Amino acid sequence: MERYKRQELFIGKNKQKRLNKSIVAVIGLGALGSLVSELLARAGINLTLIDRDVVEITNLQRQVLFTEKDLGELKAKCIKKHLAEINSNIKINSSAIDLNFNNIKLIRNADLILDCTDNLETRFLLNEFALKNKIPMVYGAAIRDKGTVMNIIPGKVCFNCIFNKSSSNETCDTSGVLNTITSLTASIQANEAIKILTNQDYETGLIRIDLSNNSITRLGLKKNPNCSVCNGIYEYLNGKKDKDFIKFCGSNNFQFRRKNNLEELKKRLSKAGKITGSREFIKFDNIIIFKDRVMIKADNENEARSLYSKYIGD
Amino acid sequence: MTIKVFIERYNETKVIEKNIKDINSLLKELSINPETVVTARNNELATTDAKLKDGDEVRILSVISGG
Repeated sequence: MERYKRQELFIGKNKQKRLNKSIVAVIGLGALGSLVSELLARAGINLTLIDRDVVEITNLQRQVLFTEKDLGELKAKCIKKHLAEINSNIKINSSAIDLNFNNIKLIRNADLILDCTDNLETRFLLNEFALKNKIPMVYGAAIRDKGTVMNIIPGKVCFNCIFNKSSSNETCDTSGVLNTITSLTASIQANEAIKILTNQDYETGLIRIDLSNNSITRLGLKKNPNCSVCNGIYEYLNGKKDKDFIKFCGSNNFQFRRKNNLEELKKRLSKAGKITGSREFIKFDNIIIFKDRVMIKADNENEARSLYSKYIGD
Repeated sequence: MTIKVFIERYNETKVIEKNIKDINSLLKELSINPETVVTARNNELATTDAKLKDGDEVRILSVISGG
């Protein structure tokens, strides 16, 4: 097809055909997700797009597909519309949902998963799903001027092998992020996806990109023999890990159980807005943080989860 | 023994001249919470119980989850 001529000249007709038949699920349509979706759509790949958020003014600095007209609209809906205008020859399905163990089967027909989410909980869920269903996945993440990409291939080193005891205390909303690092990280992520889909040699290490000194470091990976997921235990996929979240009946309050370091959170959140409270809790906007839990007032579960990821972390 | 440590969060390289048995002890020495970082020894990711020897190079990287 004329449209893919320049790409086809480089990769060959067979690989192009393969791309045109492939379906990639992009989970999270923020800075990484919006760019990988555009790159893959232009390359001729069919897409399943999933995101729970709406477009906000602070997204426009780095989330390339959105315009001011999209403010307040669902990201999944906006991206589908923009991508259909870019390439009407591909199939695009989009869902504005909070992906969880109940609805993750939506992406079962994907040939590859691109993990572009903003929280570790969903990353662990995707990792289990990908391994169980033997679907390759590419993890990507960025913050400040640092980015990281790792391919997760069934049977090889998985996300849980590396990050099983991890928690992230930084989010883009509290520590900031440059649009240059998200673009670079997304480009590498999309490129790895194309390599995997077309059976080319792909990266087997963890890639770390640091724009402060323009370095790309590749770190070797080793399978963790004690990894529960590699040993067939899927705690996120069977819902066991889902109980730390409660909606209080009859109110708009949502609770997340989590151990909090109030001093550290106070310091971090004060950069994002006004903090009040006492020794027992701190209050920030519609969020109250206790030492053992976080309470969020929100219109619905999706909004509460979104605020939690944004300001508290994982 | 001498250990070279790169702490990504502060873009800082330190040379530590002290007997340190493993990465866990190194993180304690530097007051870094092991849950918030991933560590590499001589360019290969390593768990915090990985032993250290003279001349090892350790990278301490933040866990990144932003998308």
